[in-house]
Amino acid sequence: MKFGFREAQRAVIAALESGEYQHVSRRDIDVKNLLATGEVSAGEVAEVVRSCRGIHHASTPHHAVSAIEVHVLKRDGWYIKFFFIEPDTWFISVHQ
Amino acid sequence: MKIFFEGDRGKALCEHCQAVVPTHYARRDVPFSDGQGVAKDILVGVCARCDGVVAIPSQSTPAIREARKQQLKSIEARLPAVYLDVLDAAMHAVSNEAGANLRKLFLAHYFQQLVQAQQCEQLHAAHQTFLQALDEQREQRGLARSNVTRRLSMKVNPYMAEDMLALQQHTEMNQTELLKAVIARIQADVLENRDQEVIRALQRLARLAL
Repeated sequence: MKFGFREAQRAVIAALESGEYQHVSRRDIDVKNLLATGEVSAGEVAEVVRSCRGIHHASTPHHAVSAIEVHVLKRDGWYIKFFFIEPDTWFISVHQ
Repeated sequence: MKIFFEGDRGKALCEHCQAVVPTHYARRDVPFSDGQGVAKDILVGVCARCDGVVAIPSQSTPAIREARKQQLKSIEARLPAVYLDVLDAAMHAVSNEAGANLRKLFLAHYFQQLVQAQQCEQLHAAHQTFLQALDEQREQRGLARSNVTRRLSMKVNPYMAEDMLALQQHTEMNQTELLKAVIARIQADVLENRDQEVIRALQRLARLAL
């Protein structure tokens, strides 16, 4: 399903608040995913996402699986990259 | 929050297979991407096609965090005793409750500040000034240089180790020389110049750590 900014923002905040999210792994733990490593909390990331507006958002189809839309939020030095595979939200990168 | 168990099934994007694949959840040892350590026995999603780890549920984060913190590097150095006397004196000047237990914290703070402010080229000069001052004091009192050394031993986290390595590379100093130069800088800031901004920052740190 292709989400616009508002839908993506709403869905990712709901995922962060409920804990229903996972992290993408390429056989390792990406140290640039500070949410996966616990260096930032879901609440802190939700605050950043909440502060985003449309101008902070971009999305592109995944390079290998075009049905997956990859969302990027850039705000105040934060870089948050995620996508959705129902029923979960998947984080690729969360760093400053 | 959905809790995953070993044997649970799901689907995930596998970058190796370049597809959305079926997964099962199992416990695995997973390395950190920077090569510094492994999170052992954490629950992960495994690709049914290539058997690679493709998913990390949020419930595994506390175990990952703990594993990251455990990747401590041991730093051992033998320094002329006067350096540790000066470091301890500077800490005492910042807070009379700050003892040898806070050495690591003060050094870590300085390593980070020096890396961030890219001020490592000033370390050589700070160290030379310190050495000259020591020599002058000895000469005035007719004392010979002392060979007495003391051991500095610390277990540091990956971030402090990373900052230290960056400073060593920039300054081309070895570990012992770097520690001596940073202590000389702390001495200059706290005991000589009484830099109030630095002292306040160190006092805040000491209050948090005590």
